Amino acid sequence: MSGAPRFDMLQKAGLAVWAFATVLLFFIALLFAYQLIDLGATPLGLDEGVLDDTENPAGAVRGFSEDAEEERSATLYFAGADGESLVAETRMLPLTPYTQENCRRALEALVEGPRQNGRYPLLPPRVEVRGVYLIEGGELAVDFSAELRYEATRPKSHAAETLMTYGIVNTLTHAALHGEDGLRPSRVRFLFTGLPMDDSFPEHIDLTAPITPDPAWVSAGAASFADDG
Amino acid sequence: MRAALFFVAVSFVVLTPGLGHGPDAYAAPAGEQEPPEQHLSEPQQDGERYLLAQGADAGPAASRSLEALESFGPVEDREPGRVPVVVVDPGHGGSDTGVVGLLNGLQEKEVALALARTLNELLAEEAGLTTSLTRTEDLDLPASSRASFAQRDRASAFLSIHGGANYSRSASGCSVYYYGEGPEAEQSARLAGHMAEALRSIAGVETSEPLSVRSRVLMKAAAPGVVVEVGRLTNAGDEAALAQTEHRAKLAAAMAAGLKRYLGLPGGDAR
Repeated sequence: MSGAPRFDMLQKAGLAVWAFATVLLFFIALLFAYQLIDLGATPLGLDEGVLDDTENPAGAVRGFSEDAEEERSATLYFAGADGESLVAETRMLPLTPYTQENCRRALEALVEGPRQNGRYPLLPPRVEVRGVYLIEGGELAVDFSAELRYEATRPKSHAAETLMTYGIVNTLTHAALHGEDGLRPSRVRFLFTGLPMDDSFPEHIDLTAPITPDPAWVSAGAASFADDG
Repeated sequence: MRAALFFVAVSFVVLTPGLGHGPDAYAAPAGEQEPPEQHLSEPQQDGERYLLAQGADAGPAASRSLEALESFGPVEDREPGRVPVVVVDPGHGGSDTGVVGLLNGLQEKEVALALARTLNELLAEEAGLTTSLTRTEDLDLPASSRASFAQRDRASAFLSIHGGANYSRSASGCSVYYYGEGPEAEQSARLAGHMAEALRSIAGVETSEPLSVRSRVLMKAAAPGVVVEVGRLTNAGDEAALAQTEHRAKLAAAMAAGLKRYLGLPGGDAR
């Protein structure tokens, strides 16, 4: 066999190996991206939204004296063991004269999770509160980071998503968070990475409209919620 | 350079554990392994796919009180002389597995489809009702398309079948949900009451009082409708039960009985 055909064969074989490796690399890249999404990351940064400064969350009230802070009792709602009701946890939080700031602090306490037995966290531990905004007419907008959607262990059902919704809404509209500014949140609008909720998330429950509190989801019933609130 | 990238990527994939969705609950023990997938044995059937666009509707939060709806009488005949149409919607499907069981990896989409097929047979063959399934195979279907079946067929009842998932793994049993606002609220609450009552007849299965939720599919259905969560796949006992054909047959019989009671048909007793 002469040198030229042998070189030609080697070249073709080399090209075939190169093509196979390229295809394989493509599939590996897809798997890598899938793994990142599964872990809560955003491989292409598509869900970063319009604001991603969670180190300095939007809506945080600045400039008030630390002397204005005082430890006050707040009521936080977490999931109960029965899977269909919210259980209250009373916790001392450093609250301020500003309702919006108090709501932000209470929301961060919800993310931190319960401290008492028999209560279960409603939000993934890695989710970040990107902003809390109290706007006209008593509407409170709360903005969560991408982890809320991509957390693989988030329970996905009508019951779980409804509990998450009313755990947040009932906590943030509770009278214990009212400041001296006279602002009173009456309903909560959910945002996700700075954008309104759409038809694809959460999977079962519609959160495109602001949600008003519903004491019926609290374990001891409407009476105790009304007494507290 | 290309070969180096290739080997780096291969090493990453080989050395990274846990590709795919893991089990549920934020407080899951560290190092818990993904359960093996478990498939139900029912054969797949070919079916029609309907993808009709439907606008969303949203309202304020609804109350779940059933106090005003204590009497569960037969439903008013919407169209006298017409055989009632029941639309059964097996939740999830296709790439959307729904909840995956923590014990054996049982998938919600398969449980829902198996139950819907059994229920469909009971309603069509034994009760003589006209029935329609939103999916008869393993395919993706958005909520608006599922709801459009109820509109297209002017359904007397719409039943969406799901598995459950909870933050607490000890939570178990069945749940019935309806949408407590809009023109179908009262009839939906009645249907939910009958359904919960029928499910309670199954020994060993707890069914809580029906609750009103802002369910996407029910809000768009424009028909009296309920969502039934037939057991919590985050609970090992419920997952094991749902994997059994006999248990699923009891659930289907109870749901058929609940529907027949709501429609005022004879045989509204679960077996």
